[in-house]
Amino acid sequence: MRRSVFSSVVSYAKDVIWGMRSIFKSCLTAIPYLSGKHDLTKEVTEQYPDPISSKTPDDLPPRSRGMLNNDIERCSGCRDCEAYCPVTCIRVEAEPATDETQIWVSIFDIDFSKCMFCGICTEVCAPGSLRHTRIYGGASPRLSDMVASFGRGPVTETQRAKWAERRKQIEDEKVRLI
Amino acid sequence: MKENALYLSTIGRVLDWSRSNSLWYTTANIGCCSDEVLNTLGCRYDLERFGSIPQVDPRQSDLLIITGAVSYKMAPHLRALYDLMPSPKYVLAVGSCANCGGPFAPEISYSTAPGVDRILPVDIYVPGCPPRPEAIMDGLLALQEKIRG
Amino acid sequence: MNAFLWVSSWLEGFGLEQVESIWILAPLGLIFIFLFIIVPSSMIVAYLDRKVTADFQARVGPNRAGPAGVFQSWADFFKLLQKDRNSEVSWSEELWLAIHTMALYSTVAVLPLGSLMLLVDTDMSVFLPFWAALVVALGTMLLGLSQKTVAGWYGGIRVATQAISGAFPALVAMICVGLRAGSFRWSGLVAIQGAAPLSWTAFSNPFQFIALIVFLVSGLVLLAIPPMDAALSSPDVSGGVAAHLSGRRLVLFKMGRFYSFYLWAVIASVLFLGGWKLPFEISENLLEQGKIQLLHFLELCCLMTKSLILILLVIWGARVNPRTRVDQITDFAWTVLSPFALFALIGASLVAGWGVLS
Repeated sequence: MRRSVFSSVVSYAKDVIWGMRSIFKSCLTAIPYLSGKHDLTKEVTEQYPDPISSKTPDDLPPRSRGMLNNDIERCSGCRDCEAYCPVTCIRVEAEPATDETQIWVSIFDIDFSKCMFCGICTEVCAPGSLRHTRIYGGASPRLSDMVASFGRGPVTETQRAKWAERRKQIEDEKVRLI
Repeated sequence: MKENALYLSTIGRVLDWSRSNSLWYTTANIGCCSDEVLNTLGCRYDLERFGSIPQVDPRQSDLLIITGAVSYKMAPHLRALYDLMPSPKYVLAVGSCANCGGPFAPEISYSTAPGVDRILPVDIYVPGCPPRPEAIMDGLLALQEKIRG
Repeated sequence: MNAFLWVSSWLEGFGLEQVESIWILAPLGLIFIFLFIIVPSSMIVAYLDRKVTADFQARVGPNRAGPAGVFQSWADFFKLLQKDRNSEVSWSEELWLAIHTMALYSTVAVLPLGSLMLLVDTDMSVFLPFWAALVVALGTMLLGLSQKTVAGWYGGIRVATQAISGAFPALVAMICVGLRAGSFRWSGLVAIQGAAPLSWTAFSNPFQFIALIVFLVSGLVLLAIPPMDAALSSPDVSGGVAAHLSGRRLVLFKMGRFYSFYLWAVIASVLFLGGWKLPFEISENLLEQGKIQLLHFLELCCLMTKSLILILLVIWGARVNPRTRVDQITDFAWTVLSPFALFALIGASLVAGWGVLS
């Protein structure tokens, strides 16, 4: 079926007008973005290191998992976190202090370059000392900078002698009571 | 002599400034951290604020952003990608897998390199699994500081 | 030509003849043109492009290099100059890049920047940038073909295809203006226009307005400027010809692209939008008082305002519309732009004939 010349010219003109109209309309849609008053059209960029319009760690969702923090005062040194960690990024060394209820956690290292922020260690932590904070970042040019140490440090000889003395006192008291 | 040194150091500072403020990057999206990288270069965490724009070709880029675990089969290709970049070039390792293998560490997986730094010289490591976009921007800022010296 | 005479008389003070001094003047002129026309214009266009694009996408854009990121293009420029050379570049590639660049920058000689800043004002000066654009397209095509990569090959072929299809309507639209002015000199083209918008060529009759639209759009097709940049865009052919370039070559190529965009806007505003005409006989008064520097400056400001508004409009259109596919571009240029250009030519010649008869 051949169309007449007139109808094809009309459809051509229609196409051209339609194209110009669509381009014009799409240009108009961009205007609200320049003023940016409405929720959809204002600038959504969070300018992170600058103070203007940037979110703080407090705006994060309540269960967000940031860097781990261990409250060493409450840590029992049970090594559950070390055992459950899927990537073995936690290293714990502990030794009994004065008695079995008191444990000196000498080393508690978390390698954040390896950590996968799964949160299993915080779930198994019985005393509740190991918790996710809301801190992120921590980029560094060296891998060794990313190891966070929470331990109390190695035990000195004077401390060990003190503990031994205290243990002896406790034993003596037990004997006297009997 | 001293004035000359001052003059040269000013020029050097300008050049360093220019290099640190236009880090065009190619992303080697091997792992799932690339979601966060793509998020970072979008509208919300506009990476173009730092002058960084994504490039399709490694010949035009200064920064290689690597995400994910690098398998031994992938390593030569990654190395080729790095070799195509012209000389003042930097590498950003994003996420645990790129840093040191993460859950694909050698004691768990048989086919994965323990970290990108076995294959390429890495300038900045970004921790996280995956890191937040802010953490990636933190890495970029650390790299800028490193370039400025 | 004032500057030329001034510098040559200055050099004669050192005991140099005029013939000898031209060997010093030519490189000096080239350096001057490169530093004070090509580099700033491409910087301005690049910065505007990035910032306006960011605004339309509801984000901020570059804002950390200087206040509001105004030095961003300079940072990119200095960074690219520091890059190492790419060892896989062949000599033919270098040659075609050089030809492409020279063709583009030779248009500076005929760049109209004011009534007193016309280096070359011949009878055919309108056509010189046009031929330069065609040589640029040829150079880009051969640059792509000599790269031996898929992206370069396809990019080169696409650039040539686009340029051929965009050249015809652009040429016809230029002839429309020439018919009204009666000459193709820059000075003649501007002389028939006034400062008020209604006395501009574009609004003198509807055919000239069609010619303006055709000229603008076919310029985008000819020089592969977004949204008609399917030949060189990164998503389509992964950068096309530019994919293989790096460092200093990339500077030359990208600056050439931005400069050609700027050139096209300047020529469009001179041809159709009144050029450098100032209202209220300011230019005559200033000439009488002998304040030539002020006249230069005001005319340049007038022209730059018009061309920057044109550039912004083109960026606006480019960022809200999808990038056109290359076959659609050529189809559009041959079946829509060319008939409309011919229609405008017939109408403009009728109007010109009517003016002569009555």
